[in-house]
Amino acid sequence: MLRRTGTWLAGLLAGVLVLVAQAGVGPLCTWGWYQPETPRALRK
Amino acid sequence: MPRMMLAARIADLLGDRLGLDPDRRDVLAYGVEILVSNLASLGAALAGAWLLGCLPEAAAFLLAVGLVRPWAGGAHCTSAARCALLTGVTVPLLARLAGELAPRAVLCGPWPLAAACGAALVVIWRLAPVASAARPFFGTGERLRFRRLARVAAAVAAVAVLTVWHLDPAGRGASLALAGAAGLLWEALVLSRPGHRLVGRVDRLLETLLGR
Repeated sequence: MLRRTGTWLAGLLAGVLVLVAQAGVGPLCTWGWYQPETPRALRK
Repeated sequence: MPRMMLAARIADLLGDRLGLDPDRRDVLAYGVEILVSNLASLGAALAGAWLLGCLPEAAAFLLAVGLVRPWAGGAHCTSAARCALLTGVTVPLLARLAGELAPRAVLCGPWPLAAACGAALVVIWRLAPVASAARPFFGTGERLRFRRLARVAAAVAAVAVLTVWHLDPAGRGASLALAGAAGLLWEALVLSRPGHRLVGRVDRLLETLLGR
């Protein structure tokens, strides 16, 4: 039960991070003065 | 460019749990970096502004930059920590300066402010968009799309600055408008070659002083 909840939470967090990553790669740069390297999987 | 340690660690934890391949882990690490670097910069800027007593002016500065920068691009630091430090110093200082200069600017009327907005608009119009190695243009149409968006965003920001001045020149409007114009001028600076050199030098200096 605990293990399944952990996996479910990890999946939820991963989903949020993927959405943030996709939002981050849309504009030319994010708001701040640091731009992380665009991941290969998100290079269109 | 290697990922920040915290981001790689979180991505590995999630990746192990969910059985993800390295490419998907890298996307998660990138998401963490985007979140952490932007929140750290924003937090540093607002904390500095709160200490200097110029939160509304800092917010006006950040709004002007935040409207234009996603489409115009510009110079960057090479680490999230140095970015947060640079933002936490420059934004409150320029916002405070806007607040200090506002009573004198009111005496000069709106023309110096309009000239500053016009100068920033011309630079942004000519130079934007400026991509970085970390986020290059993807496809030929993207450069044109960002150019259009940067020009529209800069024009909207300039009109907003002048409107704020017009609405309340004797009160807080002057300092807010000056801070917004300072944001536009700062964005214009970091699009230019001297701006890239300046940010690069500050970045290297901070790296020398504080380490990686």
